[in-house]
This record gives sequence, structure tokens and C-alpha cells, in this order.
Amino acid sequence: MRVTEKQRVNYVSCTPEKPFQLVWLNRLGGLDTWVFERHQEYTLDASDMDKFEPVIRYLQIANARQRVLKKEAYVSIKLGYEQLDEQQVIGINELHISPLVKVMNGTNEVVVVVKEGSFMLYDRGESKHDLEFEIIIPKLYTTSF
Amino acid sequence: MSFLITRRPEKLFTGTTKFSRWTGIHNPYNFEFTRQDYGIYNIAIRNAYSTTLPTIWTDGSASGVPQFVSAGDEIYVNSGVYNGVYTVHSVNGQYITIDTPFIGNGGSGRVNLIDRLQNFKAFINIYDAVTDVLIDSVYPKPDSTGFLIYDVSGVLRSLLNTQAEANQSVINLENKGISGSFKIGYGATWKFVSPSLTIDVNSGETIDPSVYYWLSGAKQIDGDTSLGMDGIGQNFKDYVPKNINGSEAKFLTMFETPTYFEGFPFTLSFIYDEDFENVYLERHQQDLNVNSVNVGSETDTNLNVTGRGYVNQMKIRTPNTGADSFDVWLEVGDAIEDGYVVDGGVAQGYTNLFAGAYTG
Repeated sequence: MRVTEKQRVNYVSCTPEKPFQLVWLNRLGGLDTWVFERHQEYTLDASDMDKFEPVIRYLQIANARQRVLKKEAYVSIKLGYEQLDEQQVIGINELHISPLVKVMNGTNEVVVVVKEGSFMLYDRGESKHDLEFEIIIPKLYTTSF
Repeated sequence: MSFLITRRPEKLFTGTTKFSRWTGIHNPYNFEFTRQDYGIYNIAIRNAYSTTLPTIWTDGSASGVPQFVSAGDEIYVNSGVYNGVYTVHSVNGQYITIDTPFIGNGGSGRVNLIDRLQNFKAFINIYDAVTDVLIDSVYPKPDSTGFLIYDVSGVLRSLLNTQAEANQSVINLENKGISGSFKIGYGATWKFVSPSLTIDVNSGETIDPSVYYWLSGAKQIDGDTSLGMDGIGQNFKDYVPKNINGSEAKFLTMFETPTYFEGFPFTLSFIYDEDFENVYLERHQQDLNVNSVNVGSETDTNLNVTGRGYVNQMKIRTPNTGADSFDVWLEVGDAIEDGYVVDGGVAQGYTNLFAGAYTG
């Protein structure tokens, strides 16, 4: 006796170019997944966390007006997929609000964050959409002084 | 004197006695309680006690009620047109006459002795249903009418340990970080105050026999009043498979048609309900080609029973060559036998240490 609905699942045998799989927790408490294409290689953004300005007694011999104590950096990756239909967009939109997004890479799993405001959806007509967004992988910290 | 659960977060499957007790903890997870010091059969004019004032027929005993209620006390009454605080005119056995004009008959309801039973507080204990370990105790206070709605989702959210094991090796794997089960125990404490005596009273704890389930989910409140709890639509009934005819539970995916990319891990999430305690669940799969014609034959595989009571992630068999899509569903399988596999076999959980020495 059947106790669930019959769930149709598409089977895609051609792997996207530069595949990048994400798994996320959806609002129903289940896991959804999609294999995106990597549109852009890693980008490194760095910013200063703490700075100080040393007291300068003689400007002629001062070698710095400002020194950086600590820097932080994060790596982001741009992902996308083309020709998504309506229901696929609805499913993938959960990435926005998911408390858990993971990169699946063989045996490694890394928790990542979808960059705020990076979700871009392009209407391609005939109910097809292209999607592009950025994910941030865990921060890097460096101490410089 | 009682403190009762008057509404539970559960939804009945029509035509059965089975309930869905799965609720997402990012919505309110509400239990409703009511303080009822005495129940009311009805309110009417009873000439034996008063020809003009309404008299309450309580469910208290003829000897007990006069011990707790006296003329001049203030009591809360909820019965038909009588709803509020009234002064007691007289007490005769289990009958209480109140000092208010008669405005009609009242039906069943409740009386609370707000003068005598003061500082009324509830206690609610939440236990892990698997280990019976106490998760938390809370002490909410009913409102002035004796009514209390308590939301346990805040307590349960402390159990969240969001994780995902999408690259699993077994056919189905329970996710204990985003789902689980609990029981509740409840009772009340108050101070009994009379001219001669003031004592603290504890009603004792009542354990609700039902097991309730939580998952890290949220639904839009649909205000479904036709099924189960009024106005509380966060129950996951639509996603709970039951061992009944016509069960059409959905999988926990936001995709209408999810996509399995060849060579990449893929799972479908579902609720493994308590109703499959004595039978196996089977995963059935039928591959289809681009024209939705069967490719190969339908396959079925038993699921691991260890996942029962949790949200599970279920692996899918790699589709056959030529498949463009497939259908997957769950069916009831064979009955789960006791520990013996075959005649003369060894019980599950035991080793075959002495089997060689056995000659009988």
C-alpha cells in the first residue's frame, strides 16, 4: 500500500560545466540540492579591522601615519544556472532564507553564506529564467602587526 | 480542582483515529490549558435555594464544595450568559447561588475559586520522548479566566543543531539535529487561603500519553478550522505518511520536481512517522524515459527502521541508462518480526558465541 505521493524527479545525465553543488535546509525541514555552474573563480575581498595612528613627534622622520593591526578577508564565488523553469526557481529561492547552506565537494562539506543582495534573476521569456548569485565561504583572518 | 489540556497541537486523519503530531518549531507550537476548579452542569433558578438568584450545579461533591466556598467569596464563572466574577450568595451541598440577577439559564462550564485558591500557577515539563530526560520546565500563569496557551517552540529551538549529511552511505538516515520528539507533563500549584488555614498546594504532575514531534520547519498559517486545531495551521499533516488507505504524504522538498544530477549526491527528505512501528517502509522507484514510458522494472528496498520518529534523508537508486526522470514513493512493507531471523538463528543484538558448542 502506497503511503506517499509519487514524487517525480528529473534525471540530468549531462553535468553542468564547472559544477558546484549546494545543499540547503528548506522551510519544510527537508534538504534540497542543486548543481550550479561556477561563473566566476574565487574573489578575495579584504578589509581592515583595526587601525591606529601613531603619535608623530617629528614629521620629517616619521615613516607612517597609520598602521593596520588586523585584516580580514573573505572569499566569494559567483554561481549561476540558465534556463530554469518556474518551479525550479521557487525551489532554489529557498537559498535566500535557509539557515544552512553547504557546499558538497566529494567528501568535504563546507557551510557557506549566500551573499546578501547578490541574488539576480533574469527573465529569458517563455517562463525561463537565468539565475546568478554569490556565496561567501568561511572568513579568513590575518594579523599584520 | 483540575488543570486540563483542552486543545492539543494535533490533526486527525479523517475517518481514522490517527493523528498527525508533527509541527514546525519556527511557528508557534501551542498547547491550550484550562483551569477548572469545578465543572458546571448548568445554571438555573432552583427554588429550594433561591427563587430569584441563579444557582450553579457544580460537579463537586456535596460535602467538598462547602469546604472550599463560602457566602461572600468571589468566584469566576464561565457558563453561557454568565461569564465573569460573581459574589457567592449561599452554598448548599454542590450548589452555589450567586448574587446577580437571573438573566437566563447557563449550560456546561467552569467555576474557579479565585478568592480561596490564590497565586495559581501552572507548571509544564517537557521531556525528550526517546530518553525521558527533562528538557525544560516552565511556570506560566493562566489569565484571569483560567485560560492558558503555552508555546513550546522556544524551548524546542534550543535542541536545534542544524546539520546536513547529504553524502550518506545508508538508504535512509535520520536527522536528529532538525527533528525529534517530546512529551509533556503538566500540573498546577496554588495557595489555599481560608480564615483558619493557608497552605501551598501542588496538584501533582499529569503526563500526557501522546508523543509530539518537531522539525525545523515553518508553514504559512492557513487557519484550517475544518481539521484539528482551530486557526493553527502549522501542523505538517500533509507531509506525514500514515499506515492507512489513501495516505498521500508529500516529501519535504520545495521543488515540484526535484533534479538528480548524475554523479552527485541526491536525497529526498520525508517524515518517518511512529505509525510504522510494526511494519517496514519500502522505497519504490520506477525509471521513465523522455516520453514517460517505463525504463526497466519497478524496484523496492526496505528502509532502516532506526530512522523512525525523525525527518529522514532517503538516497535514491541510480537510474537506469535511458532514464530521463523517475517516480519515487514509499509503501508499507512486511511486518517487522521479532529478533529471530530464521529457525535456529541468533537474536538481534547477540553474538553467535556458543553456537558451535550447541549440539541439541
